[in-house]
Amino acid sequence: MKPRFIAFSAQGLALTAVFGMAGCSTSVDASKGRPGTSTSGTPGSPSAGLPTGSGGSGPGAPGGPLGTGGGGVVVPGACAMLGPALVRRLTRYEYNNTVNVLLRDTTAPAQTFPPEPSTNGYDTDSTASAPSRILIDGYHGAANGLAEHVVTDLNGLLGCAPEAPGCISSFIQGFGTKAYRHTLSTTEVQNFQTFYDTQRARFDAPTSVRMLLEVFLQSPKFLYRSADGADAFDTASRLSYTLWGSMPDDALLAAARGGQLATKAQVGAEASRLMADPKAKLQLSHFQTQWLGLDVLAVAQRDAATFPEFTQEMSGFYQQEMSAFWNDVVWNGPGDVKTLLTAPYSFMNQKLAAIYGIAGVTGDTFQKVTLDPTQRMGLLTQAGLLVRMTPANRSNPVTRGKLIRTRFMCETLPDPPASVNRVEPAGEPGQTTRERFAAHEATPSCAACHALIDGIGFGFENYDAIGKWRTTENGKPIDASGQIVSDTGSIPFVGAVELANLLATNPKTGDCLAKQWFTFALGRSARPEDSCVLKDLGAVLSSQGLGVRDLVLTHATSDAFAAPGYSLP
Amino acid sequence: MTVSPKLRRRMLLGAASVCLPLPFLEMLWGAKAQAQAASPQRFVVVYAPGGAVPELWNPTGTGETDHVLPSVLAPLEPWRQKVLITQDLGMKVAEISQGNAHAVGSGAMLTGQILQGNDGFADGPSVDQVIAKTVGSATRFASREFGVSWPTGGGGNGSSLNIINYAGPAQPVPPSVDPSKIFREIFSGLSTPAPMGPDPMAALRAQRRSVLDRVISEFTTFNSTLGAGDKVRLDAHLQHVRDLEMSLGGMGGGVTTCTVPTAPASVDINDDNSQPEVAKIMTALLVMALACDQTRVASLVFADSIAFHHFPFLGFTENYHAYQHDKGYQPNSLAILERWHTERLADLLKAMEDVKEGPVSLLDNSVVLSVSEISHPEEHGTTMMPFLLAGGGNKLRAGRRMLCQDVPHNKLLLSIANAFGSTATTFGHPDYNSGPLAGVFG
Repeated sequence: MKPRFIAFSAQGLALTAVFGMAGCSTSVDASKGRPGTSTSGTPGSPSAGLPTGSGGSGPGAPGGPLGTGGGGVVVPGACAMLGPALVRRLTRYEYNNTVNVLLRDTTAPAQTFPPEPSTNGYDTDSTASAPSRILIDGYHGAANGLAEHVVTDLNGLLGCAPEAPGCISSFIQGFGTKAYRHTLSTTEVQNFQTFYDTQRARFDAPTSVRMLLEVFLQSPKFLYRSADGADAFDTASRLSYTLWGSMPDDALLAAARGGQLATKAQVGAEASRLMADPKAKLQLSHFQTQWLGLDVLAVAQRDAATFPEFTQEMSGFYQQEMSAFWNDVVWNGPGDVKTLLTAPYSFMNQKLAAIYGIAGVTGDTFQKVTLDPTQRMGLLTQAGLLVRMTPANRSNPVTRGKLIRTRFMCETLPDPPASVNRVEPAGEPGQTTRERFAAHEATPSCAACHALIDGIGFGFENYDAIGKWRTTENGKPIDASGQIVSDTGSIPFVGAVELANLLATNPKTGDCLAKQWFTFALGRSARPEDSCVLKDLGAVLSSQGLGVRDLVLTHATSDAFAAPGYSLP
Repeated sequence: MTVSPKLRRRMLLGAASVCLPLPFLEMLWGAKAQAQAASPQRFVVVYAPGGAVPELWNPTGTGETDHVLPSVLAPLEPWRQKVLITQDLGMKVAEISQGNAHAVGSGAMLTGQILQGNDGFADGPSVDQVIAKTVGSATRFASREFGVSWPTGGGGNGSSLNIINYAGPAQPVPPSVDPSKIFREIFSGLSTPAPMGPDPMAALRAQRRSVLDRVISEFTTFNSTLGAGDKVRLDAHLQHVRDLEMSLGGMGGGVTTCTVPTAPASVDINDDNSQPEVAKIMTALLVMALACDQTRVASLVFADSIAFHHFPFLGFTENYHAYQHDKGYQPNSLAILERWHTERLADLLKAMEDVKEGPVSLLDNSVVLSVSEISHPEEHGTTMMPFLLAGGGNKLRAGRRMLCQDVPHNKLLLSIANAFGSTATTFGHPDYNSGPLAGVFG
């Protein structure tokens, strides 16, 4: 395999590479000059690059101005983050994790909240929409249910008898610090004490404590986390929600209280501690799920007559395979892009091995299996990803090519014009997929964009709709030749294994994965002025060849992690 | 708009997908069914247009009772034991019917029939009107139809886009939309038979209001520290909390039986912002019309199928149809709109449950059928219809989910008609009228 450099950019074909400034456009040279403290005239931001439409600012936040003020340290000339500081609503995932720690809840009440609007495929952009009444009703119902449940063991909750002197006050301070992820001010404590006393005059102690909890759980200080760069408690929350998807533990809150999150070195030490906790593994898995859109595996369906192997339990196996491989590479291996894309092994049980055509795997337990290097390597050829990229019973070069373009190359593809038929070509009986989709090439209004998409997607033709290897379709031999079309030319390739090698040896792939993490972690689209930090983060995976964990730790101590406009020494 | 080629997007549900009950539940239902013999049995249709995002409506899981309700149906979780989900029914007749896909579905879903000609009226009676003919002579009104936002497009009573109820072939029964007029027609001259008891929920509501008062104070302080962009969103949050508190304060005393309602306050039914209020009034009037035995058959129509109404109170700027497909399929937005309708269905179930009829409730003596005219909002889907039943009337075997393997929904309509005493053996179009659906009543 010859390593070849590919310039992944589609701008020459009138596509707006909205998402991908530094990582995806050949025209960016962010190394020349770093943005200062002004947002205007950021070096290296191409004119086509401003996020629009699908970008980060939704109807509720029209690119709003700076949020919280405060006396942070602004370091001129550093690779500092700019742009609006926005408070972030906990996602459903974060809410469930938080009440699990805070109240030992195992019912995951946020499952019934409305789903977050997906921005760039991630649930973390709480600014994409204003909260709906349904969500507020959900908070209300969850608060009532949670509070009612925990007051059934009142003394256990309070750690003292409610009528004992100082019991409620100490509960307010202790519980409040955790719920608000912040030490309560004297005024805050007093307000809660007054509230409790007022209720206690009318109702019994369990009822009054329950009401106290209901206030905490519906307060903005519980449901939102703020972005004040000067506040060590905000830094603690930022660390725990980024690395764990959950609230800070006692040690992290203590570090904030004790002034131990004031330098990058201190933040880095806490970040390393958090990364050693199993919660970090869950969080990176959560990221993988959203990066690749693996949620759809849970509802994937296939025609039972055509694919008798595809039973209900298979969706779980596909997910397990993806997760086991990711965890192994990221946590037991180097976690680098090359291994993710070209590892010669995967994990499977007997039923999944049958999809792969691999003998000798028995039982339901997953085990590490060496792959046939002519058919499979790394993430791209995993059965789970192939199923995820295939919406129905036939292979689909559009959905496959689109996933590679958007998630591995960080390009934003425009929707087809409203005037065109969006229905997949029906084709004639007996045609191959390739023949069916030839309609795109033959139709001028489709051809330009679909050359970008289908050109890559055709490379996956050796895999059917359930991820099985095939050499024929409808009795005709498979043609898995594809091409990566860009404004600087086309790179031909044959099959997904060669595609994986091409992506693995291209530095833009690491830049893209770094940008995916950035987008997930910050809960917003990348902006032109982010090109400086994105370059640094991308370099961890690309030029330095390090792994995903290194990326996460580098990000945690970078200026991209601090609040906008602030930089820790 | 013309009929688009319909994409078959049916989920195939594997070997466990039998549209049949499992035996152990028979015993549970025997005892409960006996309790309801004496009271009149009611039938209610609930219609919300626009179909449902399949991934967010169709329950997951493989069993009959361990199914998981996705977010659109999640508001029904408290009513799980009184809901029967007839998952994966097909609406075959819509596939041979000519006209706008929404009109075709509106006509087909309760009649099991095609439209006459292209975009004409449905070619047969709807199930509610079949039942009204069977049970309607016992009450003042054979049936009543209540509309919330109707019609949102043009055509009024003359358009098959706007009609779901039919007395017979091409005999539309449009809904009533004026709350004051409906109130006068049904309740003037009636008096409440028994005095109201004390409200057992009053203390809890007072507590909830105190909590929300305190939460509002928290928001007021917090929001004052925010920058403009954040403040817009947090103020919207605060306003919802205020509305929630208001709604707790505005609840009436706990209804225990037929209680003649007071005349509804004046409300601008043409203002989309009034929908929550109108839905509340119509729900209350409908439930009391049943509780006071003024009718035993009712329909609650949230809107007509063209769905050109807006949901500004949920923060949406385009009309409902735009999110289905007019401006591109937007499942995340639809999920919120669809869920709003599910919540209103839950409100209806709650109001019916609150009416006690001896040892059981009005809901236990009713069959509620919730339907939409399409399934997949983008594709005008005709498979995997988002239909469900609720209540316990006529030995409805609720608390379950049936996987119906794309059988024609005519079978369900026939089963419902039979449960209410119809002796028919077929329902709707002759191509799809192959007998009842086993396992719904028992």
